[in-house]
Amino acid sequence: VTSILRSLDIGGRALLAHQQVLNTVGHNLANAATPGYTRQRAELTPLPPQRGVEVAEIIRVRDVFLDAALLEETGRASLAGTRHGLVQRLEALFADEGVGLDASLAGVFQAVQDLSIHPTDPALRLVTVQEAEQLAAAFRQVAGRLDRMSADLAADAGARVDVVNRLLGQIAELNERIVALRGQPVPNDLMDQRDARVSELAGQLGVVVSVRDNGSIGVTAAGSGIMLVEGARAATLAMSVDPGTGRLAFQVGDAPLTPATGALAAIAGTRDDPAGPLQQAIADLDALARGVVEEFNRVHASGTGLVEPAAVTALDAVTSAAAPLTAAGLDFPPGTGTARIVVHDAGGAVLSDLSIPVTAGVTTLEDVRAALDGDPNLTAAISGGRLAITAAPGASLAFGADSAGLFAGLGINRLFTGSDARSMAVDPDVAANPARLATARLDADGLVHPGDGSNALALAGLRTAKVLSGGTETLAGFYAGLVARVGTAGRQASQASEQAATALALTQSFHAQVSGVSTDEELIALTQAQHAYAAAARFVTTIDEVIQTLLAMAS
Amino acid sequence: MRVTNLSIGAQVLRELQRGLGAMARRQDQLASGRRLLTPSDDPAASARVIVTRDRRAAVEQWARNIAEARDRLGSADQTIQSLADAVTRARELAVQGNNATLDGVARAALAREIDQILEGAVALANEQRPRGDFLFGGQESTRPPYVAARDAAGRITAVTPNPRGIDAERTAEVDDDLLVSTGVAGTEVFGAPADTSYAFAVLIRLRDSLDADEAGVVQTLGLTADVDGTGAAAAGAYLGVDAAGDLEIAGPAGTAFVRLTIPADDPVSTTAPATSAIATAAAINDATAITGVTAVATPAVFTVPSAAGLFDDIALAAGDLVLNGVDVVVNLTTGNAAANRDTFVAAVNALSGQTGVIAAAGAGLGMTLTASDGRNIAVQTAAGSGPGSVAGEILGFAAPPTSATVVARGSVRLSAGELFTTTEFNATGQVSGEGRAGGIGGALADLADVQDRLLEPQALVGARLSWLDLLEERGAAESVDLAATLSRLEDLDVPRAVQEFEQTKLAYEAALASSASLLRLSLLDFLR
Repeated sequence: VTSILRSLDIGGRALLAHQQVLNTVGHNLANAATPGYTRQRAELTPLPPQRGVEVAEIIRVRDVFLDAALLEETGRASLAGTRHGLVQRLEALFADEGVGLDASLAGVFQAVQDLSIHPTDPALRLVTVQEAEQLAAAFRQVAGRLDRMSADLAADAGARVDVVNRLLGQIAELNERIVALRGQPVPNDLMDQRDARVSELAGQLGVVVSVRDNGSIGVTAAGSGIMLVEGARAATLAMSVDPGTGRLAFQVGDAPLTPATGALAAIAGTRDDPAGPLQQAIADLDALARGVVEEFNRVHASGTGLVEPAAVTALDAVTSAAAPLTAAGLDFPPGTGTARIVVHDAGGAVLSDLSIPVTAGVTTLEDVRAALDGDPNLTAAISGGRLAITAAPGASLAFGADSAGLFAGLGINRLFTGSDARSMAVDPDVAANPARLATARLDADGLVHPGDGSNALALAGLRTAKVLSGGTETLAGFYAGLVARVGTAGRQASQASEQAATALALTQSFHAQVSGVSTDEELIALTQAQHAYAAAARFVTTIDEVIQTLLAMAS
Repeated sequence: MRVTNLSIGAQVLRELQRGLGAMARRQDQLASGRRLLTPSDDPAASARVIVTRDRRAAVEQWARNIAEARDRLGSADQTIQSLADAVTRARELAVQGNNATLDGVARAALAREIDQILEGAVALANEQRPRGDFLFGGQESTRPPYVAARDAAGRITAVTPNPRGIDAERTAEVDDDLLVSTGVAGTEVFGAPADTSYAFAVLIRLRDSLDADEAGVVQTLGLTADVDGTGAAAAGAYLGVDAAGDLEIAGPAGTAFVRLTIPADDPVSTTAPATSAIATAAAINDATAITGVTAVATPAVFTVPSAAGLFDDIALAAGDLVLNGVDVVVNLTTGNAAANRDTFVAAVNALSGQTGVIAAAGAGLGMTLTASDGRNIAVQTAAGSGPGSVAGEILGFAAPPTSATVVARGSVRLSAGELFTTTEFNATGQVSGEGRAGGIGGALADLADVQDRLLEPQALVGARLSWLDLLEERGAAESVDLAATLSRLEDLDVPRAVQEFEQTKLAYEAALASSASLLRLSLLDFLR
């Protein structure tokens, strides 16, 4: 026996249930454009025995495998995209505008070529010094930009660490709120918020998420598995710049953390990886600068300018005058050979003509000093590790063939100072007095002819000399290789970024297929629910009529 | 497959972004006209651009160097041509001056013109380039290659090259490791100072010969003694004209070779063969009928310097001092040097009838011995360290001669009514000094050498210039190739890029249109 009132109860439940369905549709439609929103579905269940319908629960339509995949792809795409952006910035430094380092280098070669034909032209000398200064400045500028980029990246990483810590805190807080609700009602929207935070976190730092029974999630760093969030507790990510290596270091507590994917991994990798594009570019640039300095100085130190100094002081100091020159801390230690130095009187005639033997690993600065000082027309002294040579009064010094690289190594009669891109500059003596540019070479008798441009020509000859990469590449060729390497890195980063973006888009599209809101679908659901609601209402009306009929029978 | 609005939106957005990005890139390329905007556009091409540009810079540099070398060589060519013209003019003047009908005033005018040519030649030799270096200065570009010494009247007396060397090559690189000399060595053009055809010396000689004093047509042959002032054997001592053709005289009446075949017949010479001025004059006079040139011997003079004499405690016995074959025997032991000197002078003069030598006291303790008829003065002293050698030292000799040695010869003065030339063929050159006519004739011959020498540098410069032309052509061809390569590497193929841009645009427009209509579609439009 069933009560007629129970039928009313069925109708009432149906009205309530379909209203809830309508609410869910409305909520879905309202959030159709909300990022990170997961469509919800009211699960209708029949109530046995024949007690109508009820909404069992409102579920978020998700696929946990897709969730994990999306998280991973988000991290990867962020890694590749950020790296691409960084490499593009690097590339811009070497972009081909015809005013790069190669143009500066070509300017120097042109100037010394012109000078080899007109060694006595003071204007050309000035031009040559300016071109050399421009080359050094170009090296310094590019090196400075690379350094600044490195510093910018550290600052960027620091800002991102702050973002990571904020997200970790928010995730922990959402965990706490979700657990506190204990499933009444099901906190779908809080979960969506949490998922959005996790996704944002994955863009900065690769993470892995595991869902706990109480509805909270645990977040660990991908790769290392270091716990970042557990329940209501959030760890703090810290970043420091290693004072020794200058590399970025991340820690959680005492544990070092290496970001596996995400923007932080891109920044750390691009900035610090010795095989990465930035470090590679810095190393290449320094090698090129060192090659330029070494080769130009080697040739320059074997020549003599229009004006001969009465005294010279080495710019580079040795750590010990008694140690072999090869082990005395010089940037460019001399090899084995001889170095010629000639003393001229005021009229340019030869007073002394010395050839100083140098043996790698044996000869010390003191030996050199003694050999020089033994000449009656020369005085040599060592002060602070620097050799000073003074000619007799009224006489002057001229430098000749230096097969050992002795004077270039000590910093005498050089064109450039410094040993890498950062420190490269034109020798102050030459910069102050372009007549000191060594364009001529001593002849067999030790005389200097001002119209002799053979040393300038030898400098110009460095254009085709294969002096880098173990004697296989010219200076310009090496620079071309540098640019090609940067370009290749840019191309690879661009391709990787595109691939990762495509993979992410695909995953996102899979995800949207499952969890996204389709307005058409919702409208259909809306129509269905409306009809169901109308039917239920009709059922209630019908039961009401039945009851009226029943009551009329009774009266 | 379930499609949602959000995924459609994202997809559409991504596609539109991609299309817009492609269009922006094409637009960048079209706006700049360059295919390579960043190295990653084509890393290999970017590297090749740098290497190619490096090569192009070198080729352009070589072209500039070739132009510079040509400029310098062209200047050298012109200067050598100017010099050749000047030498040709000097030859014309020399030929004019070598004419007997010309009077002294006309010759002086020629000398003035030669002087101008000489000044011009020095100026040409020191020609400076616009940048201040010297065309013939070699690597000594701050010092003039030739320095002229001038007399009080400002006339050039000698021109000497820069002792630091003027012939070091100046070079320019015109191709990989290929150097071309951009100048001509001054010595190749003007000759070395030691050459008889040293251009400046020849011009100076010609000028001075033309300008010689016009007091009759005379020429003096100086005859070198056997010993010099210290008693050492003199270079080029006169051996006489005993060989056929030793001396050619071209006089107004004709030309003859003078030969002295009979030294023993010379009545006054004391040595054989007869090498005295008087014997030479006689031989020349023997040919006067043929040549029209007469000769006069001038005295032989031997001067004993003041400090040389040892007029103390010497008793000269027979054999101690033999003057022109006669023993001078005299006792010089008075202890007074001046008195001894005077005694010696008197003793020599007492023998004058036999020796032909007259002595005279000179300044201090000095004296002179003169053979006024032009015979030689010959001396012999005893060997060893006795009075004989002391007697030699009286003459001022460190090593007194122990056999009859000519210590002084006279000279021979030739004269004729008109111009004549003497040419001396004896290899050791015993005749020194030239008359005017001989100077002009000799200078004429040397001028021909000067002119001939100019041919070589001219040919050299010409060859080098045409070689440079060849190199320039090759460089220009390579330059065009490199420009083409660079253009291919970095320049945009504009028609193709425009076409691709249009295609990209079309695709973008299609995407826009289709997505617009897709996004507009909604069930809402159809629900009541």
